[in-house]
Amino acid sequence: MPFHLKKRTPTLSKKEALDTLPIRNPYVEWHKTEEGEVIIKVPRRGDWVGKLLTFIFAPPEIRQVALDKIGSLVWDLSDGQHSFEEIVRVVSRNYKLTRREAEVGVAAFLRELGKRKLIVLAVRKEEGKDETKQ
Amino acid sequence: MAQLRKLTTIGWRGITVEVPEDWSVAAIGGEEHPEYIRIDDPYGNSYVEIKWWSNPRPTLILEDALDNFLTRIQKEARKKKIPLNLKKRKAPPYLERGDRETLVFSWRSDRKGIGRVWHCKTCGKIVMAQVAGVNIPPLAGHILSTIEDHSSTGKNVWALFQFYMELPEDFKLVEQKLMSGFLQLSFRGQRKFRLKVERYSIAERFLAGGNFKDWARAEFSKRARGFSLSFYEEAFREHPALGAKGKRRVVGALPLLGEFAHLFAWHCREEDKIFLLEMKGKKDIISIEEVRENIRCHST
Repeated sequence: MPFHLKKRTPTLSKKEALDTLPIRNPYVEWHKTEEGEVIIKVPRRGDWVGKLLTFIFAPPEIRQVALDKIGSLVWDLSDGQHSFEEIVRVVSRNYKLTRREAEVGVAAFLRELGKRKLIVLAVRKEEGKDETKQ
Repeated sequence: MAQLRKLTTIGWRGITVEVPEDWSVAAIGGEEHPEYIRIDDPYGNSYVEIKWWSNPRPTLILEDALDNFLTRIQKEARKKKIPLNLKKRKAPPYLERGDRETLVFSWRSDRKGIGRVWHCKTCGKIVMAQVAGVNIPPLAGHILSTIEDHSSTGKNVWALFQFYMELPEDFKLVEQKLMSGFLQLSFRGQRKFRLKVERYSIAERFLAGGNFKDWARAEFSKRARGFSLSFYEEAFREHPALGAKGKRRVVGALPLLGEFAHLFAWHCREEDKIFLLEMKGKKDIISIEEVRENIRCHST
């Protein structure tokens, strides 16, 4: 109950959000360069918007997205074995960021990947079952 | 036995508080009417909020400020249909300080909170602080007791996200950018003196494989267009550093007469962070050496 700012009620509690497991989309092709940077192959959108854009702009069938070092590290760790919190800890330790800075950065990055359907977040349920979100 | 936790100082607009090291600033607001800061624990279980009036209206009474806040809590609880238990009283003698008139309060609904409201007789501020959340941490009392509303050294502490700087009180914050990996505080001193302090985390991302001094040189030239800059190199705390000074090249209008720019940057390799200071003004209100000496870049 803050003094003057109203908190928006999140769908997940902070604890649950920290506990989610980011998982790479298994249908997405990717590889690592010699420098350790990840290149993701993003196929063209297949929905009507994609078809319309293809008709107008004729984009290539596959677009390559190159991740920087931090992005590559997060992508690497998004294997369903590491929780969001663990990824934040690794990024914070490796890049000497405060926990909050790392948390904000990793969350924004995962949100972007989620929007592009390159990653999903598995939410651990209390019964021990996983539920995939995003 | 109580667990020993490392504490860190958070300082903002003349207020300082000590919180566990893994807590961090989550919200900042107010800008004098009143000012506000919230610091969260990493799991969203508890937080500390401080709200303060730097120049309270003479009619603002401590009891009224607290009642106003408690009324809002009551309203919220009524809206949520949750029973609320509220308590307020004068601070017991062991919590009283000579320069403060204090009230203490606590509340319990779906969350809990304990707090204090006081009027500082030295600086005139009215401060309202509470530690609240699903759980109240065992350190709550200690956190509240570490809040200082004025400095005894004439310098304000600006500390957040592991950044720590002390600056004379007459420098007023005019703008801030608090982003993941980048922090910028812009101050204004007397006689329109401007000071910018910036910290870039993950320096290698900004240097993009290049040399720090080349980066700094390009950055200085961009920031001081219209100034005739002369660059100087020096090591600062054994870090590579670059400085530049200069006066305005073309005097277009009289008010700019004599305006100078002084920039200084260093690359703290231990923390992989770049610190950049930018000063512009007509008169040297503070030296760049004094500013940089009061910034902590890595723990020694």
